[in-house]
Amino acid sequence: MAITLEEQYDKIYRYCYFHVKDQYLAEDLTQETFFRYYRQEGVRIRVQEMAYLYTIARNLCIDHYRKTKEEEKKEKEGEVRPLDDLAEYMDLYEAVGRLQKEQQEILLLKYVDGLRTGELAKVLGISRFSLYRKEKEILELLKKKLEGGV
Amino acid sequence: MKKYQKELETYFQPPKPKRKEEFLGQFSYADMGIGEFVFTQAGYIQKSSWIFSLLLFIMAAAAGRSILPGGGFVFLRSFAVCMPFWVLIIARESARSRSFHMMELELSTRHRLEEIILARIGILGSLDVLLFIPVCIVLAGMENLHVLQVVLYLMLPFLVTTFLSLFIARVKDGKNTIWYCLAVSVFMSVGYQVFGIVFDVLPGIEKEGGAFLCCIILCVGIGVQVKKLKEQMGEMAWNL
Repeated sequence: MAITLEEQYDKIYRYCYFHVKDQYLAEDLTQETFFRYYRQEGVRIRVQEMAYLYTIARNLCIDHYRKTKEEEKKEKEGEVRPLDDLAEYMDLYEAVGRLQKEQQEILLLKYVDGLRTGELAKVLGISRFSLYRKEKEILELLKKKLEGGV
Repeated sequence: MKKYQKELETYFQPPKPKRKEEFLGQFSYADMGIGEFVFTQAGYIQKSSWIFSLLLFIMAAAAGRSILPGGGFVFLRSFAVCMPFWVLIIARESARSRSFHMMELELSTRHRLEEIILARIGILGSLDVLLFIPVCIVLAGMENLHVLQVVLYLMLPFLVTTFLSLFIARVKDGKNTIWYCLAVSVFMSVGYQVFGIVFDVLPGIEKEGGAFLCCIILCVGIGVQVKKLKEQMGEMAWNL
């Protein structure tokens, strides 16, 4: 089912905010994403439209990181702790918060934004097999922690 | 994980954007409606494709008429012989980018290459349908057949040729694709008639159930090939 421009904006904005954690910057990157996309496209009949948008947004965020070198700092903040530490955290929010940024990105794009596996693999620039493996790791990590908390 | 979707949405919820309404209100992009797009693409189809389609139709009708003592079945056969070559005309139009080494350039233009090719296939295919609806009705009347029987008899070679041509276009990427499609068209054109003579059957006219089932399976197969071809073209766009 086709989604509206406003829905597309919301998803891309959420995605940009996830990366840059700055509201104003996220809005700038979202707008730039749409400008770049629609500069090329005339007829809006296409498959994987959202995957293209996410890819443009991702590349813009990465370019921003390279300019500001904030990624290194944020990666350190999102470092995954050993399982022993995770066992202490029963709350889903805390558990997700302690995942690596790439793992959180997969959760966001797959389970919140509803991207299909093929599209998600394209956006992340990895193979489907790698994606399945990462997804399995994330789910096992979260499951172990959540079941352990019951 | 799906049962935690709401919690995940809350977790990843960003602050409300302040400039969204302003941006969406001012954001205007050149959006071409589908009717306008199809009409534009019709103008880009080569004149020779239109001429060959009409010539083939006239030839089929003339061939059938020249052997008139055979009646309606001769007309039927002459059209069935020509059906695979309509597929060839469509395949030729679709393969223009490869033939003229324009694929990479066309992939970077305003419209996506797969949209353009699908639009042109649709336009030429629609012309064929428009020509053949009255043919089917007239031929059915000539031999007291049901229109569906005539449609099945003519669609079988068309669908088989389409399926094989799409398969070739997908796996044999290169400027010789059109020659392979030509070989398939000739094979189907002759082979369909030989099949009918050897087994003494007119598929669709007789054994309608089997012919209908074959058409359904071929349509599904064509759909799969089109999907894979689109994915292949999408891959080319990603890799540029």
